[in-house]
Amino acid sequence: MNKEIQQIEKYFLGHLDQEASIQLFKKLETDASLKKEFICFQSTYALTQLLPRTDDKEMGEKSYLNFKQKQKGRHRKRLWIQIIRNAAIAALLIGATWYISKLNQEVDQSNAMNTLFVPAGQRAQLMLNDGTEVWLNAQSTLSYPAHFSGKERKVSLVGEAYFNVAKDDSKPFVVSSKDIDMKVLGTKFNVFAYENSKFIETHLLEGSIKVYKKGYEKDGRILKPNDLLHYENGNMLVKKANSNEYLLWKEGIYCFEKEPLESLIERLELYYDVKIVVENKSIRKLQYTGKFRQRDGIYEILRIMQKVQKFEIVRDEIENTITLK
Amino acid sequence: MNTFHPHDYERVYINYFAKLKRFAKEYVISEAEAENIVHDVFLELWEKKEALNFPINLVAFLFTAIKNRSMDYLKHEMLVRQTSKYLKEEQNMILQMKFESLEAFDQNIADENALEALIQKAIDTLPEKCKEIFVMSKIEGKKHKEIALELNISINTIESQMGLAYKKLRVELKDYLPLLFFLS
Repeated sequence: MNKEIQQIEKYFLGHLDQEASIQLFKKLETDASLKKEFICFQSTYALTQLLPRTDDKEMGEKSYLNFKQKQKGRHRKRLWIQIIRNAAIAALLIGATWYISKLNQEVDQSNAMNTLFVPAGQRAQLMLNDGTEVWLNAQSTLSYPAHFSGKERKVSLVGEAYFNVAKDDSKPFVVSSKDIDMKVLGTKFNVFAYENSKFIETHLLEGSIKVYKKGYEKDGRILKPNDLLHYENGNMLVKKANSNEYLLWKEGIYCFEKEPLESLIERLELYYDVKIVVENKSIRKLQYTGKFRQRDGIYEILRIMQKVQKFEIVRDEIENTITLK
Repeated sequence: MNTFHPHDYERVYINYFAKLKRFAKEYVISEAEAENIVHDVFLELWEKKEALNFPINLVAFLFTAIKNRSMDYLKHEMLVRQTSKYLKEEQNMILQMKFESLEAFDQNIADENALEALIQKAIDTLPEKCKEIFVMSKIEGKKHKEIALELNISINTIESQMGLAYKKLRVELKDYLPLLFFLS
């Protein structure tokens, strides 16, 4: 551990090159007591920054003057807008309409739509403007407005996401996927809606949610906690979710329980953006139970699967295909 | 507990601005961003000062606001990098560690008086040259190059002396630090 602590010292002195830094940070991820040491170092440095310095007062005074100018500036701007408005009203009588268009530029920033795309092998977490938390799985895209206006809070999803929706009785939260929409008030649920998947699944943890085909809200199904809705070929099937362990993906852990090889492979293909061809007949009927870390990567996961029953892994980097023989 | 009365705004601003900017910069790395964050926090205080007609714990307010905004910034930066096609691995790891360190930092105990006394005590036990260099760097705000020139020593020596000073500080603060941050 002493060698690692020396590395931390070097890092804070700025003497650690990029490669060594990466090595150090990787160790920090797995070694809790080393991380504690790092945080100790970091906190010490941060605290010394709080020591008073001889030119602090001068800097503070200069900055304060600047600050007051900006405050005055704001008042000035407001005053001008008043004057322009009055001039515009007068100008209207004369017919100079371009004054009015100048006024209209003061409108609120347009409601921009944001799009977040998470690449293969990654995941992301974000908070929306209303306080809703969203976790996005690999190869997923979420489109959301910067600001929720209107009667509904609507977002679109391609891929997989877990939502912890902030309660707002006045504005239902709607998740729009390829074929179906899901409407909630304040609730926790997981949506699986990848582009290349034959089905869409919604798993409700808390609260209540209505799932319906776009435009057919009256025919929607209302889910209760622990319900899992499976939508395929235009049909909705509601069953009980057998476990919540699957949702650990948002912590970066993929869980499989008695999962047949075919569906396991399908999921791995989606998460890691790779094509997997199963040529080995003897493993086709197998079911797998286990937990993998997302960041271990596809090859590590396949290696672990080899321990259940041996198969050969053949990579084709050019075609981005893995064949299991 | 520091009480804040609206007419103290100017005094507070002038006394805390530079310190808070240095603290924020320690975590957000970018000086421009640190300045933005501190400005925004003071703006928030300015807008609230009329509404607040009771004394508040000023240090806690300032630090909490700066800590939260800095954490938001770090999270945002990490997210931006996570979704960028050409991921800069090292940068993202640094941001992650900065974030976790800041998260663990208990701002409620960052009371300057007790802190200063403690650091002073620790520094007084340093060998003379080491202490001198630390003061020139951390109190007078001189850069390592300037100190090397002034004292006529090599930069390497300056850096190793600073390393020693920090080591001493960490040892002294270790008893204080568990109060400063809680890690399970």
